[in-house]
Amino acid sequence: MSRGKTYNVHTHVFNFDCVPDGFLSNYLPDLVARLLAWLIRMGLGRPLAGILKHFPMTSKYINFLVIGIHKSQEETFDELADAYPRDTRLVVLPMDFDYMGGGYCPNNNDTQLTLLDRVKLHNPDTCLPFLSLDPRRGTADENLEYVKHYFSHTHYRGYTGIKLYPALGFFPFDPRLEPVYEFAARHGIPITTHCTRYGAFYIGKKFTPGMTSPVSFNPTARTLELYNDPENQYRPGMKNSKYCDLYLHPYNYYDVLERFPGLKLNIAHFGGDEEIMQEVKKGDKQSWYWYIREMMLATDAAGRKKYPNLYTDISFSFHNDDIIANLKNDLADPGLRDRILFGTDFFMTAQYGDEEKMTGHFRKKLDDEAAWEQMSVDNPRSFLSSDFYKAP
Amino acid sequence: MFSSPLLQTIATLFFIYLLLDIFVSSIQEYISQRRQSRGKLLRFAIDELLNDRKNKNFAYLLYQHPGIDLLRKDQKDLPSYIDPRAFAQTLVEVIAAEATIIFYEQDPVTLQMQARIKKESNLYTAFRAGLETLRHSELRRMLTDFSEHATDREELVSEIAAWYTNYMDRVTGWYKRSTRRLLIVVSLAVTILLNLNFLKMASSVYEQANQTTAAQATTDASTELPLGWSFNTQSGNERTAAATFFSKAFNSIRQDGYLYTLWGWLFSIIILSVGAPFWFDLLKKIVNVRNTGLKPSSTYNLSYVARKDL
Repeated sequence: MSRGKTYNVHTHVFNFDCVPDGFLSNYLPDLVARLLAWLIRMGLGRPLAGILKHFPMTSKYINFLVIGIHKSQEETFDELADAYPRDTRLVVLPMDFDYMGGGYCPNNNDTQLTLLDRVKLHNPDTCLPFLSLDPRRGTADENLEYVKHYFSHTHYRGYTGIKLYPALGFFPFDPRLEPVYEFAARHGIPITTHCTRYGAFYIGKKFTPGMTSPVSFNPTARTLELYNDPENQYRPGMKNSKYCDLYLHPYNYYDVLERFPGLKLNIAHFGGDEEIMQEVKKGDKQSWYWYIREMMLATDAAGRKKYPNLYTDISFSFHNDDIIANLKNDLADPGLRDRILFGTDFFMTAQYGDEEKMTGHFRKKLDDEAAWEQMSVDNPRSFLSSDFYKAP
Repeated sequence: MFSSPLLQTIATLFFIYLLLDIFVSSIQEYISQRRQSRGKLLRFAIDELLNDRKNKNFAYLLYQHPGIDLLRKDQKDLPSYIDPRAFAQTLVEVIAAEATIIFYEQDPVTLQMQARIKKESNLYTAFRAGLETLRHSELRRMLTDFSEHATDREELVSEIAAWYTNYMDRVTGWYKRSTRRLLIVVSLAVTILLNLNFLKMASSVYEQANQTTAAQATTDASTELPLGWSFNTQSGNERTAAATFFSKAFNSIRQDGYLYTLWGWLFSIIILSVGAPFWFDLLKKIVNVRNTGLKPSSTYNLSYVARKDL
């Protein structure tokens, strides 16, 4: 018998109206991406999808595109919910694309959240939205006010946690985030941060000086070493995707966790499938996957977990059999077992297959119901419970 | 009918081009309908008006509101018209919703979430409260002006409706321009497809009128019009049909003269595209080709004018 509700801690339901014109540049040549965006905005997405499905190179993206183009957040959420048993809790992660440098975006972050509010209103128990936050939104105080607006004891807006997406152009140790971390740590509010080289990144024509001069509210030896390395300093002509990887580096979180060791932080994707596979194949302990592991297993002088609320999730990579095999080992490790979360990264994974089938495949390959319940029931319950929300 | 061959020529050309213009306008109207040009332009115009980058995309929220959403035929459809009053009423509700607080309480035993909604009962007050929650922006300033000029909801709706109506006047101009572009393209296509050489047509009609007048119908004057492509040369070639057609067409143009053909086509394109709105009005009296339903009656006369061409 199940110990509680099942959770998927990593899903997305935003659509193409919530992303800037340049969003597809993350995946396609810029000119093609902008042409595609223009065609989609002109309402030609459907015939376009019809054409693209006939080409082997593009056919796998069709499901992903169709969801992104033709469905409202509510419809996407309903489709997602249909893939799971009734009552499954789904953490929905919006993204703040306002500072991505991608040009025109029909719906800014505030509009995206308003639309997400409606999804929450219609699914108060099963939809668990996180609050998207980019520190460039305002000053430290303004960012804190923004978070407090949603997490208030008098009028709790139903948001369960905070979502960061540093690849869009900020360092997670940005001083404008410090009060937010403090507030989150004090109230047990979970934070999920993107951590894989795959995904969206800043696509502006140039980086502003503040974006390439890391200023930390709590510099630690790890980040000093990382950013003093000339290899990691911005050079003109450097590809955006390459520099944006630095925003995502797991070491950045040493600065955050050293200041707020009790912070509930989910460094998502376990570093990414490529990083996991690199470790599995080479075992050189130089992958993001390994760095996250190290942080999760770090202990203090008394042998206690140094960052007891540091989590990771296996979203996006959960469909890969080799990764599942590796995950079984991690779940067998008592130092990690209680902090690995089940998430899928729907609908980014729609290019690989149907959510229900992929989840079924994952459970089958995992072949360990106790481990499944641990990562989809117990661990999320601990991660998501805060002063504002008690996860059932 | 006319004793003067010139008058007869003018009258004949007038009716030929009237028919062709109706044909061109129908094609343009069909394309506009298929492309939802009206709906898209209206959506674009409202987006220009209400997409407040400093706050929210209120245009998007307006279209999501049942007051507007129900005007759609289906999810793919965009309404071609939005009545000024419906627009104003919906916008007031959208802004008022900004002051609505949806908050949640969790049952301590079952842990179920209960949504609670806290909102102003008076829509006018709620609208003002909604404005207060917004960051400073042009839109906020404008809407604040309306709310200050109005003393109650009814006046507020009227103010916004009048503003929308004036804006729609400009949008009508945008639509006319976009229609003109499409008309030129359709006219060009029809002209080439039918080889509609105005000069050739005029001289042929005049010649026939002259013959008819001179002979007083004693001879069987030919009534054939120079429409379409006439190929005099026989090509016994075994090339593809398309290649044969282009080759013959090219020969035909060469026989007529390149400049003569070009000028003739140009006149036809100008007549077909410039005169289209006039013919469209005439066409409306004969048959309603728009298929978007009759325009709703409105007490807003200005808006009625504004929507005329939308």
